[in-house]
Amino acid sequence: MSATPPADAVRARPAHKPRDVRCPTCNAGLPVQDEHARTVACAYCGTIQKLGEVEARVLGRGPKKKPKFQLRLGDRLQFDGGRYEVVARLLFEEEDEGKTTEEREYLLYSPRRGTLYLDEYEGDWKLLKVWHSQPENQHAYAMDEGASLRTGDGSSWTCEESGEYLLRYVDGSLPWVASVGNRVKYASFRGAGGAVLEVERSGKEIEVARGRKLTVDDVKAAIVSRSASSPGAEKDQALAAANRARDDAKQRASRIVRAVALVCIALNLVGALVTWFRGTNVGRASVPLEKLEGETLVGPWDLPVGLARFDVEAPNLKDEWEAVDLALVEGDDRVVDVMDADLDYYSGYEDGENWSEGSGKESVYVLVPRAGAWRLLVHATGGRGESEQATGAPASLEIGVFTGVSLSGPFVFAGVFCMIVWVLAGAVGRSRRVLEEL
Amino acid sequence: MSREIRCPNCGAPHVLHNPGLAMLVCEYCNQAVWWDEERVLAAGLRSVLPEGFTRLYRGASGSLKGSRFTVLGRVRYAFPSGFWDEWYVELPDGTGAWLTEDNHELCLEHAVDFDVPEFGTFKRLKRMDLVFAVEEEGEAECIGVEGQLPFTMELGERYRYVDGSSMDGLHSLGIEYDGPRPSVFVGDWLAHEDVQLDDEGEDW
Repeated sequence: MSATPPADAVRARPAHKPRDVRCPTCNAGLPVQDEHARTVACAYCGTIQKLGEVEARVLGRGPKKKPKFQLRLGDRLQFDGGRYEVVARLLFEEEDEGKTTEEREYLLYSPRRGTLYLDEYEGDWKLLKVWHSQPENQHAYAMDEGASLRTGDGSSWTCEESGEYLLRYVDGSLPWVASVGNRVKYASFRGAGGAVLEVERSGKEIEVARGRKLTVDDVKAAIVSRSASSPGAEKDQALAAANRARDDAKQRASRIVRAVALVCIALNLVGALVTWFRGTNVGRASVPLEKLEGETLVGPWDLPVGLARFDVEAPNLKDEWEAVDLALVEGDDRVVDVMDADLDYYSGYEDGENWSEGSGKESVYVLVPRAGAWRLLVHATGGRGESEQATGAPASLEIGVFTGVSLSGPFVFAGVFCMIVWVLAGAVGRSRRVLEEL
Repeated sequence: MSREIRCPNCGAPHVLHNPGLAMLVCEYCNQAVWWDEERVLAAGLRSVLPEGFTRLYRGASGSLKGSRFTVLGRVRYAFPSGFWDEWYVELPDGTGAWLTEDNHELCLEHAVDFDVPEFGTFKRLKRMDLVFAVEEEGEAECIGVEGQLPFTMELGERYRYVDGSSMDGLHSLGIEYDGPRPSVFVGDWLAHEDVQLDDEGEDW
């Protein structure tokens, strides 16, 4: 026996020399850092090959259009005192109520410390490592949101979401055989102190990983060095910069248009209010029910040249409709214009609430061609309830006469148009979430 | 007391300090060498295992939970979706221990003596006041050896295995169905800081 370790058995550490696998399709050199790598997906042409007894067996091709990633293959990051390299990138998709969401996963590798999983989902980041403590529920990967889970170490977890991901894209090298189209059932849990737990089932294998949430600033701070050799990285950066510039220009234009539209809305609102209340009451007339059966002349009123408004109101209308015909009469019998006003008013009590619809009042505008004494010829008919059959005028009328009025309608229409412009400009100028490298 | 043997294939000298060793693989010509009393025999050429991809390596020294150790040899097993390494380490008192490395996670294992159910018939196993959950089962094949080992190994040896963890995640379970009575190992999962190497290779 030896009292101390044999000195002659000790030797220097062999150098770490990544393998260089050639892509069978495009012949690109693909460095493989992890000896355990089982899948190599070419970042240049998307060919996915399985490493094994036969070194390269093509499993399939990835999509021609490469998705955007925030980190490049070969980027180095430091977490918990160890340095890791991005050796693979995966894009998962999930369909949820017709909406497709994406999760990006970066496989971080260190020959001294093993593998970490860095996940990004809509700006939220998680750092995970395989964990051996077991969930008490053997189907934890299929638990519902809000469900509680305990793991063998005594920790308690609450399910935040679960579902099924579809692998859409992969590049780099992985220690398992991955194919586009693979499906992964998963459930994400939150625990005490910001801990997160992920339980996944792929095929028959169930994997548990534990970790913590990160902010994007945490991830940025962890970057030790960027890879310069990532295929298309420069082009992606240029595209991202162009997108950013275009986005900024759109937002600037949108802000200007919205500001102008807002001013126009305010002006038209003021215009509508002013015109609505403008006008001088120069007379009134009451038309009793019995006089509405025939044609009744009311007035006269001295009206100047210009726009005049007649406010026709049936104050006693209830669950009835009343069609009023009006004619502007010069002197005793010369009709120069005809108008109509449709009044209806219904109300009731339903499901514990009072309701009403329609209006017993309508304003009618007419252009008075000459100054002088003018009358109104009035006739009305109507009916009850939903019946379209006229059974005679249901209610007496009160008519107010106003001069010096203006039309508020154009202001209202212009205001509505400006509101539409304001909304559309906001939608066009809304900043799209452009995925950029960190 | 040390002992020197010469590789019967290339003649390279190898100094053995530990009498418990039963075979070595010549680092010069990859010849597997084993000895039976006074005879030193060649057992055939072994596969060359790649180095530099793992934290441990043949000839590494350091401390394991505060106790010094030296890595003397390694056995590599393959299973359908990958492989794992079992590192044979010598401790200062001359005894050996096995460090299992799977996907760069280390586990210090020792043999235990208890009965286990037949292969493929269980997902949970209660032993030693612990409940173990099966994480993986399959068939393993020895695909390489290097350095000095306490027993002889043949390339291509196959056995079925079950790997698991205790529910609390602190202990590992390894069952090898390699004979009428399966070999059972229970271990402790090691944190990175539990193992300190004299040469951590922080050039990475």
